[in-house]
Amino acid sequence: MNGKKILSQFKKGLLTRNPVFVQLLGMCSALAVTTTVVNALGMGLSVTAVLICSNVIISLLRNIIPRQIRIASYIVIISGFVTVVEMLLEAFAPTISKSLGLFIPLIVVNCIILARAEAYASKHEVLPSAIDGLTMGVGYTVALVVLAFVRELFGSGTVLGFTVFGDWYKPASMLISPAGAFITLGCIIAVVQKFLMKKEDRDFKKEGSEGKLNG
Amino acid sequence: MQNKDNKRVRRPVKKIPSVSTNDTEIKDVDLVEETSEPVIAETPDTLSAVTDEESIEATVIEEITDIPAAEPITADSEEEVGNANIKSVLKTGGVLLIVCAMVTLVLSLVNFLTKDIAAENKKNDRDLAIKEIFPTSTSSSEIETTHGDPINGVYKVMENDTHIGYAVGVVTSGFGGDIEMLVGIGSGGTVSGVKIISMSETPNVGSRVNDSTYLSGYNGKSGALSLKEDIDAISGATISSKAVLDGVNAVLTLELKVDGVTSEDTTTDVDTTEAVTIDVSTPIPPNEGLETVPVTGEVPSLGFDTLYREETVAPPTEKDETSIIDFVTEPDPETSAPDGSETTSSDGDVTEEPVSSDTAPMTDTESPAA
Amino acid sequence: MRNDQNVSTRIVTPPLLTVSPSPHIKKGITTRGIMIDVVIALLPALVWSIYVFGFRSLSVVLVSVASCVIFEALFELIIRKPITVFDFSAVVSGVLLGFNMPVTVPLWIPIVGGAFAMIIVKGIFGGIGKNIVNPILAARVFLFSWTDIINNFTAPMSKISALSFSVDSADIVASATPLSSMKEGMLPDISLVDMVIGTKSGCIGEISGLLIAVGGIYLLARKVITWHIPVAYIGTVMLVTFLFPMAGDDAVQFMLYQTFSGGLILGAIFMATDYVTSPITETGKLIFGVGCGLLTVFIRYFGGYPEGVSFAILIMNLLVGYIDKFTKPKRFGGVTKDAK
Repeated sequence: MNGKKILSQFKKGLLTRNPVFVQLLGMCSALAVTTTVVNALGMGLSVTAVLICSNVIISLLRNIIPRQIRIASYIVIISGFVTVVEMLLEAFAPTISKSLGLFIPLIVVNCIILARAEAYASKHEVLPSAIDGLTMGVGYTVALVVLAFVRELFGSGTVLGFTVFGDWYKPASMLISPAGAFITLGCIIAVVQKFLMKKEDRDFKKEGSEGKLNG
Repeated sequence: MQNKDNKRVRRPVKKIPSVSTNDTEIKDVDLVEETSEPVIAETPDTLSAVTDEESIEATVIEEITDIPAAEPITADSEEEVGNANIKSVLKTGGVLLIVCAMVTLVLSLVNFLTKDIAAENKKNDRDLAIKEIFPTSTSSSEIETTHGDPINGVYKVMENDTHIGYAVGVVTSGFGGDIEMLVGIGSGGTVSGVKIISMSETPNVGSRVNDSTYLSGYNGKSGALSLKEDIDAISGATISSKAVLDGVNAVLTLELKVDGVTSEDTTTDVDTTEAVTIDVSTPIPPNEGLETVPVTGEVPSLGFDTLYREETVAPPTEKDETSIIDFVTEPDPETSAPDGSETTSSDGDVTEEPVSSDTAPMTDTESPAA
Repeated sequence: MRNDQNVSTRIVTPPLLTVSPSPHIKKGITTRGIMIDVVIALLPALVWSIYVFGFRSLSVVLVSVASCVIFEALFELIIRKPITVFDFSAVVSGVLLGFNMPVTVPLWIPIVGGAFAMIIVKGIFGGIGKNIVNPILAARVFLFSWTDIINNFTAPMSKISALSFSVDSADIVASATPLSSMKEGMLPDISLVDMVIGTKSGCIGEISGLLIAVGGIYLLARKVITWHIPVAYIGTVMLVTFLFPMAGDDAVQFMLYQTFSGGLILGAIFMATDYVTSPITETGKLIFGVGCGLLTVFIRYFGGYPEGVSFAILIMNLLVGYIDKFTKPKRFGGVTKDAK
């Protein structure tokens, strides 16, 4: 994989195939943990770690695991990594572990990980799979951080725990609640989709009648 | 997505229901659709994410033409089919077994490495919380109890070697979810502090119960408390206030006595001779592996200690440090009714320890305190 | 998706020739006309509120109207759709939004509420006629974010400054609203006459049940609304509170107190009857009204909030699609299954 390909992979993971904003995967965790940016970062990095590790292992074993049991094996491997991450967090980052709480074990059923395992890692070599895991994980993390930034900023008046606005700002605590999560996520998805459609229009105009899709 | 003719490459791909498998088993398609539905919804996109643009066609062709049978059933005879079946079952089962075994191995390894640190963290958090209620405490240990909900842990709080109180964890349901608190019971069986560990109440409304000034209103109280009489409710947050009250009441009904003589519990039996699991009501036998083995006092059977204890037992019985003073004023150890003196001064009097370590002779010589 | 609309029209001029399917009866009703009727119907309640709470009621309502109109226009400008503020629907929304707030709110609350209602609840879904839930009630629920501000009721006849951006808390004479008293199990301190006429504490528009009802009668006379929803809604509440009184000795008294407290009459007459978010058929309207009534009483009795009207109407709004489906009238000329 040369540098250009890696860059295009990153563009995919961050923007055009962003797991949360475009593929609409992993939304449960995206909505639930984005009350603060710190939580979002913790969650995003955990998911990225699990994604890379599971992609690598599954790619290594892709020719060994028979078709019929592949889903079962993937789940076992993924949950193994998630449990390892959970144990490591409990031991070395207990505050994050406490604030993320139940959502760390729920990484197992985060659709992103199984989707990438099924769609990519089981068909490609180790290094591309690892990079795919990295790019998707980074895209997920960025999506979560953006969502958390908006929610924390307007919902509590803080960013990363630091009060940003002065006393005059009365935070809209609705944004911290689940209702606010849905509303904010919906608005962000709308903006992202609008941007992507404009981009497609521009690309289409540029390509003329060529059938190549930039992705 | 534009549907232009020059995108012919993508059209046949759209018709294939499964993007992610190399064979076209219907079973597998269902599987994929169940587990990762968005993948199907985004069929063209995922495909292009999956493969490089150049190899789209290659993959398409591969998917269309590559239709191997899933099971290796290419045999002609039944017997061969049977053998092949057994073989494939063994293979699949075996691989799954190996995968699970390896994962388990890794997990147990990591658990072994991190388990102690994690437990240590939990204990530190707990100690910190307890320290806020009992500022002079130095250590705490968990006592096994038979209490269920809402109590979720009873901790004996020690200051050096003196038993200064209990911290009881309790969980009640508030307005927006569970409220987890730590209620400290000090000498006299009164509340010595309430700390909210976690809650999810409405900000600025229910969350105002988590205010130290408000919670200090519980200090010194005992008995069955009620809103408005014993403690105000936060205006507009009646449910949250009531939840905190319920939690404190649940702890108060345990009637823990902090003294050196460990307390009496209304619901469990008192086992004075030996206790492997320690009830709150049981006097703590010495040398049970507790962190806080008193300096001098120990096994009651040693004549010397018994003598020593009996000498000193009369004066400060049901009280802790502050009772030294009470000894002077109140010679009768039985009248140790709660008098609201929950703060424990750190006398660290030596005579306290034997008292706290064993109560068997005392309960024999005096009728147990009510 | 390519957008072929490169032309942005600013203001819509009525077409010279209208092509549409039959029937071709024109009645002269316009959206604007209906909206003006609604505003007229709301005026008595507004005047009363000015009398009870001072001119700040007027300023809150005016700010709310301005906010709704401006944000609707702004949003339509940004997404390049024709500007529809001149059909006065935003004006009505603004007045009703202002009616749903206590008089003590700082003036940025109606601004934020108006933005939320017009942009997120109405605009994003497609503008007038396309919103799923009542924008005003959704905005009011959104404003619950600032719980202590939005629930800050002052006693009637207290002097609140009319033009200041935020009200000095010293001027606020805190008093429990009738609903919060009843939530605690006691009848409110006010006489029933005061309850009906409206010398009580509460949101700007909801205090005078009598005058709101007068507005409702005007709307009925002008055929803007039908009787189904208000009668079903208020009737259900009266029935249930009569059968299961929670405070006081007299069931009738409790029922009357419950009926005239909170936003029930305002909600039943002006909010639940919103064309966009209520059922089409008459049976559907009755079902809708009964549902709203039941939910209101449940929330008032068992819920965390003392007032249930906003939530009840919003929940029923979401069910309107199903109600419409169930109460579809038979098509004229269609064959019934067991036609002989």
